[in-house]
Amino acid sequence: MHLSFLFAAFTVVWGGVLAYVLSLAKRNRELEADLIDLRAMVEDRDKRHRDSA
Amino acid sequence: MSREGTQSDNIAAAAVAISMLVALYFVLIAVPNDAYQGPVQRIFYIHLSMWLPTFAAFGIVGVSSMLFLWRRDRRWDHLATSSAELGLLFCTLGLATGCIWAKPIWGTWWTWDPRLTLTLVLWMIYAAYLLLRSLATNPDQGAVLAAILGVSGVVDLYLVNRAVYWWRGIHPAVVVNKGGGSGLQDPMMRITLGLCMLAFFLLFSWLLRLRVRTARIEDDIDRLRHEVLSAV
Repeated sequence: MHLSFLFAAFTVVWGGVLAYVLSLAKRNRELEADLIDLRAMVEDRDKRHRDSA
Repeated sequence: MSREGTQSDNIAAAAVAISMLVALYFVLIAVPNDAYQGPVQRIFYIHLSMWLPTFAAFGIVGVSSMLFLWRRDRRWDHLATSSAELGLLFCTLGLATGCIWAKPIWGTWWTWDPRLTLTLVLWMIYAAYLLLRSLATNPDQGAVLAAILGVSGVVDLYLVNRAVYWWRGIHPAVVVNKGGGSGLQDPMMRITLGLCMLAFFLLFSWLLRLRVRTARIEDDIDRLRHEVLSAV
């Protein structure tokens, strides 16, 4: 009976840490996508500058 | 990221993994059962280990918020926000493991003991801190208001620490009991607690490093996007 409480405590701790690490990884993937968008925006702006010149 | 940075990240991750495995071995296998509580007392090693990162994290929030209010340097704000997020994670896990331990030992999941109540208040203060950051329509104003909340939360941190000595409650003082000695009689229990605390503190340090880096990149991308859009 008491072993189930021990198991529950470990599950909560490791589940919580894992969920946080996964959310951090997701945020980093979103940042990579933002960076790609930003690079495209800069390239587009530079191209327009060149065309107008 | 530089090659040295990646290498030090790998070393830090390996140190966290090894210390966690050692701590798990001690908690689940090496340490003897408590004579009164039985195997459920082993929850204490992980429950207590949540509070060192929690206190460190909220302490960092207080100091870096103060420095942010003084210098208005965004780097202090990044450290405060990242630390508040991790502090809230470890505080949540500490409260949850405490509830799980309390049910078989006290016969209830929760009781309005002074330390428990003040810890819940602490959790609410830093949950409000993060909500304020995410809901603020003006990010600069949100950062200042959150920093004020971050500094004031330190008062509750001190009260949580002192609660078992100042007020009558049922929460045990395990590391240093009310008589001044340790609540853990067996040396192996003290070693296990030390190893567990070290492992979770290393985990906290590693996660904080990763989270601060993410916060800086987020800020850089936002600033660059703003510059690019305003130049178009």
